Amino acid sequence: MSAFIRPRTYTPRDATIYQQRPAAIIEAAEETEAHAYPSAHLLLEPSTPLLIKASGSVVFVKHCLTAATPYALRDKSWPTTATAVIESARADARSVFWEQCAEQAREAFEHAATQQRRTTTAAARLRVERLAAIQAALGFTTQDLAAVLGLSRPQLYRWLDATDDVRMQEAKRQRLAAVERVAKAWQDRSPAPLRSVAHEPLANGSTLFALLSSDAIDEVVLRTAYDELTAKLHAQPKTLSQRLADAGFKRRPSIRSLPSDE
Amino acid sequence: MTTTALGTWRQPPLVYVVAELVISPYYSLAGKVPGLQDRLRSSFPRTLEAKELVVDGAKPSAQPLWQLMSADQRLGVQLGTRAISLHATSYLQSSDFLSRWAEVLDAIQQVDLGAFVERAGLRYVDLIVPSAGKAPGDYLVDSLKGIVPDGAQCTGSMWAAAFQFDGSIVNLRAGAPSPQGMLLPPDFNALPLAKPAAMLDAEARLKASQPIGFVDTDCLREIGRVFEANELLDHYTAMQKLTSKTFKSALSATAREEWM
Repeated sequence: MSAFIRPRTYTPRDATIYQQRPAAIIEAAEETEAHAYPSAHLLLEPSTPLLIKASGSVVFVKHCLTAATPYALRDKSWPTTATAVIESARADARSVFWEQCAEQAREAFEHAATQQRRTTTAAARLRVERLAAIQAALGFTTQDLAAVLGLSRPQLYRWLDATDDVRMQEAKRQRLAAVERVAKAWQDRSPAPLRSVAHEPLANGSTLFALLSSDAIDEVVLRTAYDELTAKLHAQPKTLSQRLADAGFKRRPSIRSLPSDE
Repeated sequence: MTTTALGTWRQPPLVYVVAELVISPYYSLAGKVPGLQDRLRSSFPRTLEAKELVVDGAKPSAQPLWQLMSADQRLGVQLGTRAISLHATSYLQSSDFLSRWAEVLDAIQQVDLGAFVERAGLRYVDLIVPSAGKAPGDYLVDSLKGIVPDGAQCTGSMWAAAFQFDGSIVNLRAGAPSPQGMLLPPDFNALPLAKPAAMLDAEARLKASQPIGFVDTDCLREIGRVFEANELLDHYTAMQKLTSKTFKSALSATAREEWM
């Protein structure tokens, strides 16, 4: 594509056809959701071009037809910022072309609207980071994590979507904070994910998972359960590899292991 | 909100938290307030209108001020022509407070305020309410206790220092005991929020002429850029860590044992 605008000449008939066509583009813009392109502007002055803008992603430029150049379409996805000039074509082909153009405009507006809606907000990003930290400590399945957070699975997927600006209810917010605290308390005690002991029976007959997914999280009871389970973990006989490591033996690199950078 | 203690510690001394953005004077803020109010209404349904006296140069001027309060009056957003802030006397933990602040930042972003942010600030106020047989100074490390001449009794002691970290300054001020009758640290404008239990205890001790103390930890970071919510949240996350680290370094073994 040329980096320069190439002038074209048109007959009065061509000009009349082109003059009628911006309506199709404007209609395409108006038919999409109004809130999706709050920056839509229509500027028309006698001696300056007409501009229709939509969220910065696509710009239609119609020079006044008294000037030589009829219409130009500039799309940000094109590799250069050069303005493409629509070639003159036969009258019947032009009609098809402008329908395609209107369709492209509609798609561009819809794309711009989608992009705008899916922007990550600061709150959404922080929410996802908090959930990721919780999941790193707990290591639960999505279903179990949803149960612990007091959510349904679809709700949890929405919470995990950084582009979804979920408005948290106060109760859910407090639940998330409580789960975050107990996850951190576990991480302070053990590097292993909580999942590994979540279903172990406790002295009171319950399990950690049951305590975590109950309606109200009792942090005192949970911390006692943590102590009980970490004591059990420490009391377990060591595996052969652990005993060998304690005795100072090191694992011999396997012949199949990848060569080191050195 | 059911919690009366602020934070996750066993007996937290925290009573007040403020996150603030100092902006370049924004005289048309009034036009943006309806949009902000709509976006924050679900969390901050009450609105108070006020004026603040701005002493800028020789002639003081009154500038409009809006305070959006939560229903339980434990959280409040203050919108002014020079600063926007979130005040809290309810604090589950740092991540929860920052998520609430992030919602305010997002609302500001959505109304397209476009303000130039001069500085970001995060301030924590902790009150020392000594347990039986202890003095406020017992809760601070020895190096912050100052001097007591022979035969004298200390009735007020203030200590202040500024620490430069990478890109941030943390001002730590401690009063142990606080000057007589002083509940909150100097240069601190609190919103009319509900008082937490630790603040009520401190007030009761002041009335009974018993000593209390405070630790005021304020982290500042120069921003010098047009408002951008995601970027600012990163600043606040880093600032919270510095504030916490500085505060903990001022605590004695007694404080850690009793509070944490």
